[in-house]
Amino acid sequence: MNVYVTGIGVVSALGIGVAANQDALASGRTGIVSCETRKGPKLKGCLSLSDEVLKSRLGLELSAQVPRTAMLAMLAAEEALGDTVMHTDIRSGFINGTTTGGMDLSEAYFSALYLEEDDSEMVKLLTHDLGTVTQLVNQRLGFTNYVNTLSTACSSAANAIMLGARMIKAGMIDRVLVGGVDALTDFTVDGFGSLMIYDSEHCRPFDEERVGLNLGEGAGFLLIENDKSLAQSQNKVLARCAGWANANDAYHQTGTSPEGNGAALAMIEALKVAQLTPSAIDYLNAHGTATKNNDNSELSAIDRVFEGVDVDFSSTKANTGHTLAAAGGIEAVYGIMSILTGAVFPNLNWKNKMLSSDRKPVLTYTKKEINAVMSNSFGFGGNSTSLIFTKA
Amino acid sequence: MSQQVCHIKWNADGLIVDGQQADLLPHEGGLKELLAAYYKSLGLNYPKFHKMDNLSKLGVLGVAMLSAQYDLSAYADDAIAMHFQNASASLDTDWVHQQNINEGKAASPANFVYTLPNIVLGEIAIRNKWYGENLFVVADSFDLERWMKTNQVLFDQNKAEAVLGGWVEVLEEKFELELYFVVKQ
Amino acid sequence: MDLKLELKEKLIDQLNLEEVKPEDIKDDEPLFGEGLGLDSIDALEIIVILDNNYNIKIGNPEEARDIFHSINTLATYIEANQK
Repeated sequence: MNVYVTGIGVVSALGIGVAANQDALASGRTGIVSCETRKGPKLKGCLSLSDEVLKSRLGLELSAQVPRTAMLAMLAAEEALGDTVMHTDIRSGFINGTTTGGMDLSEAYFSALYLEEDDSEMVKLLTHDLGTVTQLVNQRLGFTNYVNTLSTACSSAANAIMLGARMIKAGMIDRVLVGGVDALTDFTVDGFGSLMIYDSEHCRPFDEERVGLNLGEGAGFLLIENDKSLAQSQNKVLARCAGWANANDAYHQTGTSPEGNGAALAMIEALKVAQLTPSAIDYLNAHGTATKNNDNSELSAIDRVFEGVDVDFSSTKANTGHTLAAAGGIEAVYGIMSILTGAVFPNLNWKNKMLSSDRKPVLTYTKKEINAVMSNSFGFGGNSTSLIFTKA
Repeated sequence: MSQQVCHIKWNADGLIVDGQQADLLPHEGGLKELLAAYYKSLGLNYPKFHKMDNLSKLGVLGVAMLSAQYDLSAYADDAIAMHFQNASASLDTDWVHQQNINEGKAASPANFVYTLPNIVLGEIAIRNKWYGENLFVVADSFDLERWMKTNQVLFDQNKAEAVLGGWVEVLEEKFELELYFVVKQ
Repeated sequence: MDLKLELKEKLIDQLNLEEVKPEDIKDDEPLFGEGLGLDSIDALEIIVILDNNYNIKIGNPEEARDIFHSINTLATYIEANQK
């Protein structure tokens, strides 16, 4: 059973929509900027539009209680869905990966409570949990047969895509919107700060001198369909979802194993599912968070899986920041954009080759025919996922 | 098709392992002390246990009890998939991190690393050296039918020979574990 | 209280070393690797302990490696840098 990608939607620090993101990636622009926080300035990949602006763009009442996370997801999900209409004969679903949920509003409440002793906004906690964000988004989309929320750290969206593709393949569903979302929060910025892996300068994926990541926010969704759904929707096929795999690194709560065991297992298995050899991959959008640990183990895994193959790879996290649960969705969209436009996106801020490997990332926007892309997403808890998309 | 071979249900009312009901072990204090009592009685020699949050402890202990009932070592290291659900994600631990932020204190890295619900899967994987699939789903209540349906997808596509998981929920002193081990037929 | 004993008690409490007693930790034994089996997260947690209890800030975890070698090196560093 074929799994077709027929819609893509993305929101990131680079802007709203596929076109804005394509322009920024092609011109090597970053969306990471210095933002004021309670603990001084921090570099973050934030979408430069306030909650109020997002509400008016989405036609929501200014007084409506909608977390920023839900709004980012609505924008990307609606772009991916396009004018596809629901049909009673088509079993349709929505699978959303997120880790921050409605935490942005909870923080606004706590901040008012602790700094100004104002407890009037306690109602803000009602949209805290992850499932509520999924439900708020789905109220606009109207999926009925299957709605689910996954939370597996930074591979959440990639796992949502994998689960959707598998359900189509197993004949359990005909059409499913898959991906993920996370908004920026003090919770995550402070937390990564405590792990001392938050770079005070622009992050440098795969550079020997890298010291850590910058966080970002956004959402990325794909509409995937089977033949039956496609016949009804008449959507154009953008790409195929061809391979997927998840493995556990079984090494440490947050750190990855030096050899990248989980990463290698996921990449090898995804190639097997897609029935492709490593040399068939024209572009690899790496997880590439720019932490010492991730890039070291990911490159070591790439060295093993792609032995003897000089695969074009880059991390787009220096453009968007690490968008956590959304990363796998945003980067899947970028992978499909790479197929559609025939181009490899450059890895920004790279100067020094890593000592542990001979490989270096692609540094300039390079046009070439792209038939297959791989997208990696690795999360805390050892959760490692690799996806493969191929030309329609 | 699949077959359920082991079932554990554990909450404040007691512990049921494959239909055998037992009272909770005596302990002084709350959930932390209760989990410590089981750690001792199971004879786990794993000091790292004490660093975990209660959600991870509950999952790790549940799997240790299941291993005592059923031989899991016969499976290859990537043949057992883990698939869990809960309602509160990691809220129990998130709250500690949020309080540090609220009070302007330095965040605790040892606490922050547990502020994701799937870390319990990571801890079980580390302890058992399992490299198989992991999935964590957030839902209002345990939906056994949906849980089994998703497992069927894994079995159909030869992704796993067995699935271990179910419901693992902790919020303050309330806890609930419903652990299943199902094998492909 | 003796700084070294105080440090041992703080480490046991903050790093949840439930099965360890202060007298089990030798002053000159390595804290990481073999010794107490501490890991990278424990090292970050010790940085927080120094900040909260002794007002000592360590900005670079690389720096911490030598300072955190043993109870002796840790105590020497605290005595020299405490404000």
